Amino acid sequence: MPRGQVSLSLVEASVGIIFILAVTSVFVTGLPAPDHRPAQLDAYAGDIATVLASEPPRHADETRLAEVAATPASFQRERDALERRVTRLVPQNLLYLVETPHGSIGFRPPTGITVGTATVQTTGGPVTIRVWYA
Amino acid sequence: MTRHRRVTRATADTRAVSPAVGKTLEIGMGVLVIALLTSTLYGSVIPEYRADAGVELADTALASALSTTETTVPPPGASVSVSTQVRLPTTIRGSTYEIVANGTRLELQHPHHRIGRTVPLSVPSRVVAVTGTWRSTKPFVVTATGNRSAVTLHIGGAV
Amino acid sequence: MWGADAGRGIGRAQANLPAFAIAVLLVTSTASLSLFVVDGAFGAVDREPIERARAAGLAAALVDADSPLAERANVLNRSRLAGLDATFDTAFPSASALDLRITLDEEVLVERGTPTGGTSVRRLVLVADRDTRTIEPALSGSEQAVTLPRRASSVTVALDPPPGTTVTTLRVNDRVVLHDPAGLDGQYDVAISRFETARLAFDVSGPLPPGSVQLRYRPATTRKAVLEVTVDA
Repeated sequence: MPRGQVSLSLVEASVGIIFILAVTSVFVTGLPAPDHRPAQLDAYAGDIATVLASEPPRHADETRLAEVAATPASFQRERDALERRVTRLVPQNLLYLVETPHGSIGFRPPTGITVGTATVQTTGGPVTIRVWYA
Repeated sequence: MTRHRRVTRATADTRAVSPAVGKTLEIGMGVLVIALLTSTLYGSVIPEYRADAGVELADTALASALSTTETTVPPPGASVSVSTQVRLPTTIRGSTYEIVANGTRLELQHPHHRIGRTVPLSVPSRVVAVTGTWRSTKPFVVTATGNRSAVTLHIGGAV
Repeated sequence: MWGADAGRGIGRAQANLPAFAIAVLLVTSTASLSLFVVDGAFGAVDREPIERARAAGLAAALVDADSPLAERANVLNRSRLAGLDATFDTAFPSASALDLRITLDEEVLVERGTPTGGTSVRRLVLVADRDTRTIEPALSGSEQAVTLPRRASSVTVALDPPPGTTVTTLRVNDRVVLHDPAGLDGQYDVAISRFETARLAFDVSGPLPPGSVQLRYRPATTRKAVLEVTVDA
């Protein structure tokens, strides 16, 4: 009895076309561009660390970062001033976290996001500054 | 009865081409088309695209070498020896290449005529000389030596 | 039954070859169309990695402690920044052939060529504004001291004591910096610490009328800014 049969050649041709289009689609969408944000964020964090490490503190005769990292008491005393200073220093579109041996100042970085880091060694210990795009 | 047999014979004679010959023709056509496509692609299209991809890869490799060299400078007033290493691709478009440092420029040299690039270095005036030649079969290492007023950078393979 | 089968064989044998030819035509034309697409993708070779590396190198050269603009790392002098356009080509010869733009807080400092579509690198800096302050303190008593209201890295002390009065010693925060038993007279540049407030104490024998001691210092007022370097190769 008469049956409509799809010509096998056309089925094979469509399979071949799908293969070719699959390869072409890679060129159409393009590969993702290499991410340059980590380098920029690291530069920001390094700049903030450099500025903080060479700033005079309010009280004693060490730099601001060294005083914050020295003892838990000095950390508690200096943290508000440091927080104000870092908030004024950091651009509007960034959030920050300053980690000292005696505590942290700032916001918690969300997981899975690119974070720039810089560490300064002070007489009281290492101070790590992290920044990320808000 | 006679009509029936005639129809049968006419049917057998009106076949244009037997299936075996038809398939053979199809196979022959298919092979011809594939050969044509392959030779066209590999002859002119693909080598050009490989060269384009090689140019982009050479740019990335040279940019990485440039930034590594420029940041391997000891801080002012320090009399230390600094050495940094970075991973660069071993081959570009199938062949090894070289990066040559001559004074103020880094040059990537490659056998292919389209791949090859020179970039100027921007280093502080403390750096008096940048020397060395690096072959891509070795890891890329930059070494800075000297004293606080005269620093020499040298690029080359692993120490 | 034989006839029916043969009939279907006739149809397939005759229609197969043109169907195959059409199929081959379709596949070949798809392949050549996709070559056009691929050509477009490969034709746009961008120089972005080199641009980014050179922009980062130039930004580092501007901001580092070695830079002609910098007083110390990441602290740039405002007057030298304002005059950057005139001194840029001699101070940074490695950037001579580039199309670039350098902006500070969106204000263009230097522009060479047409850097549209280039890549940018940003750095955080402090801009230091240094103006000279002068104070002429009125000192009285035998141990006379004055405290500088702002921190600075050096102070120029101009001493002009009247005849009959000798200034023997100048101490800064209890550290002796100038001492002359025969009497200090003239202009002296004294380095002090940026990190602590300076208290200058003079050992004087005799009265010091106002005007005989003049202190000149240059405190830095800093504000933060974003330096952006855009390079188009």
